[in-house]
Amino acid sequence: MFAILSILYILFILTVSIVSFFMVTRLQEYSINPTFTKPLIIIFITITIFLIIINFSLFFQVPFEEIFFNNIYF
Amino acid sequence: MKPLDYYFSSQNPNEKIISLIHRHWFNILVQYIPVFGLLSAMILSIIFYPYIFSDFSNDSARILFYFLQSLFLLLMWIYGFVIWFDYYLDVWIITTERVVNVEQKGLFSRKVSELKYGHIQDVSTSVKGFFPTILNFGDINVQTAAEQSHFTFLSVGNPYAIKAEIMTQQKRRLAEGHDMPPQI
Repeated sequence: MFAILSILYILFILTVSIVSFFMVTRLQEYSINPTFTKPLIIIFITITIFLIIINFSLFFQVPFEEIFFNNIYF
Repeated sequence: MKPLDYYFSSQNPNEKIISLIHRHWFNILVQYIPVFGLLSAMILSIIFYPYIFSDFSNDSARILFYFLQSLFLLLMWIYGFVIWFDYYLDVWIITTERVVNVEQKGLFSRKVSELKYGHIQDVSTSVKGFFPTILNFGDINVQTAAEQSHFTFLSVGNPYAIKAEIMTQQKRRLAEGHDMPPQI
C-alpha cells in the first residue's frame, strides 16, 4: 500500500518539478524584461523547493498503514 | 511616447519598443478568484478543523491533515504561477516599425505574428459590458488589407489610447516613406 502511494507521490512530485522547470526556462527565454524576470524566477524556485521539501517530509511521516489497515478513520 | 528599454528576440537593430501591452489586470483577477476562494477554504479548514473533526485530534491524523494541506498549497502555488505565466507571456508589442502579437497558450504552445504599419487598413476598439466600461478595458481589432489575418488585442487597458498610438505610428511610418500599402 505504502509502496504504491510512494510511487504515485514521487510521480506527482516529478510532474510538479518538470512543469516548474519548463515554466522557468520559458520565462528566461521569452521574457521581454529580464531585470524583472530574474528575481521572480529566484523567488519562484525558492518557494517551490521549500514547498516540495515540506511536503516530501510530511509524506514520509504520515502513517498510511495505520490509517488504512487499522481502519481508524474510515 | 518615449521608447521603452525592453528587448525581444526578433527585434531589429534600429527598432524601438513604443508600448508593451498585456491584458488588463481585471482579466487576471477573474482567473485568480477560484485560487483565492480555495486558499480561503484552506485557511478556514485550519482554523475550524479541531472543532469539526474532534476524533482527528491524535498525531497521525494531524500529520495527514498537514500533509494534505501542504500538498494543496503546492498545487495552488503552481496553478497560480501558471496563470501568471500565461498572462505575462501573452503580449502585444507596438514598436516603431510594426505591431507584434505574442500568444502563449499553456506551456508548450506559442505563436508570434507581426504586422507592418503599411498593411493596416482599419483599427477598431470594442468596450462592452459593465466592468470594461468602468475600468476602461476592451478589445482592439487591427484589420489588414486583402485576406491576411487580423490582430485582436483581447481585454487590454485603455484601448482608445492604444488605437491612437497605432494610428500615430502608422502615419509617421507612411510619412517617412516606409511600409507603403500593397497595391491591389
